[in-house]
Amino acid sequence: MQAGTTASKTLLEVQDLRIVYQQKDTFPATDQTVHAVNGVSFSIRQGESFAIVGRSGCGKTSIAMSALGFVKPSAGTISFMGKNIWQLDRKELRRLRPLIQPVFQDYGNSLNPRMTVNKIITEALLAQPNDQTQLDAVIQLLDSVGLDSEIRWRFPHQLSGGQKQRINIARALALNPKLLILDEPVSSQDLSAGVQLIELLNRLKQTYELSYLLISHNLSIVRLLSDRIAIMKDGVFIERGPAETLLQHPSDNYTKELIDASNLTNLS
Amino acid sequence: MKRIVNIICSDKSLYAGSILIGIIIIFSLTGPFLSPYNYSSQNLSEALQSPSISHPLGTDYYGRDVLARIMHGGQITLGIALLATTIAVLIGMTIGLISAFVGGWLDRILMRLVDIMLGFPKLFIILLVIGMGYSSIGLIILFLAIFSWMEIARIVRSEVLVIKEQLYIKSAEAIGLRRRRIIFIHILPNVMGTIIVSSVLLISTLILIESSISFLGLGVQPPNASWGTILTEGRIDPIGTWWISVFSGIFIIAAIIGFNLIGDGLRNILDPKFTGNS
Amino acid sequence: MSLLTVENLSVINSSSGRSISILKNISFSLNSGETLAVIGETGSGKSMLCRSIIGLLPPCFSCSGNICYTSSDNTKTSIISAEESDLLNIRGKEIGVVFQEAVASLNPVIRCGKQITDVLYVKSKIDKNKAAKQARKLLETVGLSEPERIFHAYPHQLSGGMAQRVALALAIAGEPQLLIADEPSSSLDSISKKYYLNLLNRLKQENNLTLILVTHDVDEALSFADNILVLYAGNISEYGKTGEIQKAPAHPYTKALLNIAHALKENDLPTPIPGEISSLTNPPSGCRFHPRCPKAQDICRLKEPSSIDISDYHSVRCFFPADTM
Repeated sequence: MQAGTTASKTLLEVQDLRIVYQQKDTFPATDQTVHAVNGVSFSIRQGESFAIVGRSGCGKTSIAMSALGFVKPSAGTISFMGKNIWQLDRKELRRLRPLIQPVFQDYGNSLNPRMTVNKIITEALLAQPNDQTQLDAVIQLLDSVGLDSEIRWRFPHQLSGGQKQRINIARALALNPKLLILDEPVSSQDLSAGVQLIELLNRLKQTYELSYLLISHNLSIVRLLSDRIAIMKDGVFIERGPAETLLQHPSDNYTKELIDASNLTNLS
Repeated sequence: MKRIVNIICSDKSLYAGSILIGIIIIFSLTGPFLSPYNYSSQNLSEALQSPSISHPLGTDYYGRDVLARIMHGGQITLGIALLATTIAVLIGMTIGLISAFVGGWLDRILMRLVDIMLGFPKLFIILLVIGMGYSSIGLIILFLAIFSWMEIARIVRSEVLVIKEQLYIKSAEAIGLRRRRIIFIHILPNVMGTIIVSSVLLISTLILIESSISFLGLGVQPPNASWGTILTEGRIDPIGTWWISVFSGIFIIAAIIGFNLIGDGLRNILDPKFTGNS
Repeated sequence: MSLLTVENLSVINSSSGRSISILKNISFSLNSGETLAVIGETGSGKSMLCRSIIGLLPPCFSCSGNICYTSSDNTKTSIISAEESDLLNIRGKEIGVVFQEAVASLNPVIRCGKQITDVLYVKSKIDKNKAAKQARKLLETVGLSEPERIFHAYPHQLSGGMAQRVALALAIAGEPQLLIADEPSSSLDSISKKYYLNLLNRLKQENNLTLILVTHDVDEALSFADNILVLYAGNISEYGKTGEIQKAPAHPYTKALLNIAHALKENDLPTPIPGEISSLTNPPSGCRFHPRCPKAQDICRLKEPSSIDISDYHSVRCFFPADTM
């Protein structure tokens, strides 16, 4: 597997990414510049899964939002398949966007509450030229995320958390994406549902040759889903490496602390 | 049709409100055909009769049948309120959407315009213009609409601003959907509930405003009559000729209660998590 | 001495025109100073259990059975039949609660310090200056490094971990005997979570708190609790001493949960429980776990299992409990 991934081509290339926010407080009125991401570079090859691990507020979600085209970087480049996505015109960007699909932590909120599952997935299918009839395609997609076809007539609020997250994944798959950006995909799930999702994501990665950019704070989940890991703190990567090596032999104290935190047996 | 009936039955206040408004509308629309009296034909020999078998709601100073006048007045009052609401909602929705989507300086200008319009003494302006002698039903509708779209615009703007940031909109953008589709398929339906509820409530506000203008004698002019006009006709001797004001007043109150009930009921039903009919 | 006894608690939701059983025949007891962990998935009814204990069920929910709470002055109160005025004396002063969404459970327009001061002022009846001083001390107690800044901050200016600590300070301000923590750490990142659990552990020992910890994290429950209650679709699957359950889980559901937790820790690929948690609106017949159970037989589909005592402090609701001891 290691040999295979090195041979395949680079999909996402992020170079010296910097994201700065202006934080405004109305009372008392203050203008604060927040350096959310402060010079981050990494690349993801096809079929590879790269994880950014850090505590909430370390800037990892900003990277994801920027790669999805929602947050404009203040400096640096994000290239997808050789094209800098922040220099494309609107038409080109719309053509590229289906290839990078998000799966958010807030699974409930990422489905339009007024649409049935069928409509949600059909809409994604229609955004992409497709040779199958839509009904077949919807059923097939539901099947590939392990859901019964009957579920397509339901509304999001009639689904369980795990089911909602599967619909999010199915919608992403409808567009034949190359890269999924998974922002804490399982952390608000129940234990068993979360493990089911991890299994599903690993299987889909194989079947569809997907690449993942995984954003998480939970190392015990990250280790099951990723090939390479970067530890992020205060807007920069402080350590990175292949998943197993990094977790077995962490060199940075912060990494050690993160690993230690996922073990609850030694409460003081 | 059956679905609509089911939906209406699933909420008590919507059910009550729909029946009340339904009765008032049917009464106003079919009444004039069934009534032997014309709303404007005078018969001075029968002036100021109290309610009786031949005139169930009595007659006014010119001997006109109050029942026939209230039926006709219903058409005018409801017609004015419904038309003015429709125009106000269209203006408010457009301005709210533009404001939320374009943002920046245009948003600021539009919202200041809303502030200015809200600060306008609208009743005074209406009275001034109509008092100058330019009164017509069309003008009243226009006036009511121009002075009542602001609430809708504000509501639409703030709702759209919230929904725009929801993750399902982000997901729709990530799919590569066009902006037009995102606005009309994803955002608007989620704002529609609030728009419908506030427009139904606006109807009852406008009924009240129209009635007050007409009560002041500056609204609907004879020979036409709205409920407000009829209400005024009883003010010369409110006790001796109580039936003129009381019956038209009851209809105004009933219509306002009815629309408010419908508004309340719709608020419950239009929540997508409402499960009463699924 | 038993602080809280719950006997045959059943909760029924009748808001949508028909009765949905949310909790069924829940019985357990909690001694002073002990910690009980309630494990369950979303929709298992664990939050409703917490709300019944403090008598704060939503209006359409009806409660039967008996919840008996022994106050610090040894008076016994039946929560279900108690007057609202008695409950007001119990909430905060006797039983404190921390909810999952800390930021949402704090009033957004009042500074954190003032919220705690108000509780102290009302519950302990001390003057305002004294209360403010004590509030600052409480913020220190819950491990906030800059109590002065937090005291003057609004809830939205805090991070998730800090807000959760402020909520904890608020819950223990009335010096309760019993603290109910409803998934307090599930929205925190792993480091904040560990800090928070350490804090909870310390407070428990220092103040001799009795704790009900609701969680879906099995690890958290194992490392923390004296007793564990496993809730599945409104029923108790298994209830017993932590050590016994950890060593020999009797219910297939408990066993599966423990296996997942163990695998995650050992860096293995865990085997998930197949299917979804059964819905409360349309519960399956018989044992509610049978559609997902690897050991299910015909009888599981037909009959509801009754509670079997495995040892003095270990009971299970299953026709085929795993061999124990």
